[in-house]
Amino acid sequence: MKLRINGEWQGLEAEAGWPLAYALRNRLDLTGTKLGCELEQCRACVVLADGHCTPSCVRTVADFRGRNIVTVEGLSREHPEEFARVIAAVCAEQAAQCGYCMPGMLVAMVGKLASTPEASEEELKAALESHICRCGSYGALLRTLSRLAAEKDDGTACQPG
Amino acid sequence: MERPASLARNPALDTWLSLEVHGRVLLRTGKVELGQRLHRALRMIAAAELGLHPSCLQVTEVSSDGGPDEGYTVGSNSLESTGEAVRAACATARTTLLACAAVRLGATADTLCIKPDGGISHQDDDTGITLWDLLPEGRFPRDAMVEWTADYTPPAPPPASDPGSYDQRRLALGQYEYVQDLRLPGMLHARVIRPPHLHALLETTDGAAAELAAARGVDFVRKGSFFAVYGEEEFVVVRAASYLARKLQWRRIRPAPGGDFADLLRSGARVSLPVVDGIPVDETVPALGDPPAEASLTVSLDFEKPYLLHGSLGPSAAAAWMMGDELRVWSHTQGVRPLRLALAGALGIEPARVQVTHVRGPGCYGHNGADDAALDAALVAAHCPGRPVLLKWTRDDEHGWEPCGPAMLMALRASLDTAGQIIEWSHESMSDGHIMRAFPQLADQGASRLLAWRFLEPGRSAPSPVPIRAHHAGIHRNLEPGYDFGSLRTVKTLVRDLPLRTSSLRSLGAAGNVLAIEGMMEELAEQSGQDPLAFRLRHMADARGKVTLEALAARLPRRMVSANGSSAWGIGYARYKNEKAWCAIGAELELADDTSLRLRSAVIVADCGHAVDPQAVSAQLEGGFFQAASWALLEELRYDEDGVVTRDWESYPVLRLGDACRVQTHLIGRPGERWLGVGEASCGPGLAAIVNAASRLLQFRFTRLPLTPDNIRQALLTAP
Repeated sequence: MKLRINGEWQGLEAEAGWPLAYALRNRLDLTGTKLGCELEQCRACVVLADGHCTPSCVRTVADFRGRNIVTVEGLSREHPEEFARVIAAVCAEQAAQCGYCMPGMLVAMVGKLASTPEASEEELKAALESHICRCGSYGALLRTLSRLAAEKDDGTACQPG
Repeated sequence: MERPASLARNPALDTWLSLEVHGRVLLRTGKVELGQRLHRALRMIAAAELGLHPSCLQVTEVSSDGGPDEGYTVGSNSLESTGEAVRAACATARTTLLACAAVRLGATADTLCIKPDGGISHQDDDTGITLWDLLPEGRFPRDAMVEWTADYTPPAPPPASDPGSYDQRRLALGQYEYVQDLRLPGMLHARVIRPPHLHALLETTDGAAAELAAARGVDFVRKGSFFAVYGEEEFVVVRAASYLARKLQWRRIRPAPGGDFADLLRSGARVSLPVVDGIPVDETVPALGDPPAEASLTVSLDFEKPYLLHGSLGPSAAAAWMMGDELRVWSHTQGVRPLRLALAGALGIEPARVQVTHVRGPGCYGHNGADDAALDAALVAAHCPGRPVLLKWTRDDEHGWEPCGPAMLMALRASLDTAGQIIEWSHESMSDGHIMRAFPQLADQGASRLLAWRFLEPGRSAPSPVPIRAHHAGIHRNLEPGYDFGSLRTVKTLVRDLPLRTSSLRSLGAAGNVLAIEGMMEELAEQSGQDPLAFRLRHMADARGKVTLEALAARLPRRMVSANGSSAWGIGYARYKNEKAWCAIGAELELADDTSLRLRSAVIVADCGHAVDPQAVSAQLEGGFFQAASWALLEELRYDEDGVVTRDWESYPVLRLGDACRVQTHLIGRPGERWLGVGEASCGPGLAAIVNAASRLLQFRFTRLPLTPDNIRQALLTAP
């Protein structure tokens, strides 16, 4: 039962029946992935599985066998250019309040840019449309997406705010 | 400006700050960081008073041991209480430190200065000594008191390089530890199992429970009807809890009252009190009577707001560890000291043996399940002494058992004279208890307000609310309008024996009250052919309120309805508690193809006095607006005689990113004015603006939330 997680193969035979998030958090010390509902309803727990943004709270380790998984911790290594753009925009807009939804938002933004580098603001919004932020940071999040769409021709990363 | 209660309760300088770490000034506060960036604001305030670079300041973790006792972090009070206390403490510290330096250097204090890095300069020359060389062990003398002065040095906004209370980058990467992420040596994971009825007793015998638990590889603790499973491997515990939840036998003691919330509010047993100058008084409620003889127009409207959830993205959790006879608790509580006392009371141990430390949690919008989870964890920890226990609620637990935002019914009547001026205004608000937190210093308001308490012994029941008497609190918060009318009749009514467990949800009664006030203002303006903004302004004497409303007007289009009628704007205005931040909001709605209302854009204007951290202020205002938008368009907690039935995000829909709109926030600059609390200032105006926009768009006065397609259809079909 091997999965490639953030660039490294991990053997998770004993955890085959666990939701992936539990294996990430409790076996691999990757606690950046947060659990909000364990019903695939809120998008807090999304990871990239072969580049697709996927909840990790219900589907098991076995369901992800053989896949290439990138969690929020692996974004800077696996998608450095997109990560640099996203984190700079998030920091500039100070989009995080309690922060609990942010790893999921980050994974979704980086995932979308990695597959669609020239994504428009509408396309970015559509990629994140189901994400819940109960602090209501949507104003700053939409401004973050505006920045990303406007900067798509500029490969320079800004320093974190 | 008065000396805040926080200083009266914690007068010693040493309580607030110390210098035992070289290069750092350690600030202590009793108010917790919820994501509102309070701790960063405190650093800015301290930096300004001390003349230090903000990177030298650090706020230590908030704990029941040490630091000031400041009760709960609530009410948009933090900056005005702990902020003022920290400011005064730092001003006193500066004077004290420069006096120490003067003695050391044989100079006079007025020739000395603190440099941004903490060095002391004498007439612009380095002296070679720093702040950290001046106090024995870096502590102020125990008998040094904070001197209070209303003068203050306006803090500059945080520099772009400041990492903040918590670094945005680290936060976005999930690198900070939430309660849910805690790792303690030898830690056990736990889940609580609650009954399928609101009022029930656990009937399964201990023997049967033991068999069930052992079969799933977990242990259990049972005290009365409190039942939790625990074990070393979290997912094993999760699976076991799910299994046992189906197997445990419960007996329903009694059903909860069913029926529509508005009917229950109209008909239930009640206590009514008139409200005068923001305070309920022990007098007979004046009868409504007939409208005045000079009235040329009289309008009556009843507004209905359902039960709402806090619905934090992450369900509540807590860690607890019984070490000998000492209990340590880690919680995302809003009040470490009240929680300590309540836990001690519930468990029957000395408060001095309990320590509660605040750890960050998912978003907090009022009295949620955090304190309850702390008791749940403590009960398991008491059963497993020597082992730390991390107990988490599930989404189902959170929706079913968190103290929810109370339903409200607002009954208004107002009259205009022939000149279109309001000559009569009556507003009665009916609701359940809005403040059901633990107040352990009051009889019967301590341990019994933690959820598990009532499960521990048969015959214990949920606590009953009493009418709150404080200024602009609970049901009567913002009941008195921010306008000036000739005659005012304001009544608050606490209704009894309602179905659900309720407590404080962001802005408490203000959201419902402002919704009703602003809806009535719109209706009166419309029926008398007056412009809605001009109508409000002619009834407003508050100068800063007028500036706020006019600043909003300047940012709205001239036409409130688009040329083709497909979208419309609505306005909402209030000054939170009639004494905190002023806020005026314009919201634009359109009707989508599926007959749902969609946000198109919004403008927020606010006056919060001096904005210590403008971006943080905007975050709070916008956050409150989108939360109100979710209440206006989507949220409704539904229940039956067994309790809450809307137990997940599909049955209790909330605003998602795809539903949001662009929002512009404009802060009216008020350098030199005191800073005012903003955390809840936009909820009422936001709710009102959206409902007023919907009413304008669909040419119908909506008075019941939420404005879902079904509810809109229902309202239009049943209109007389």
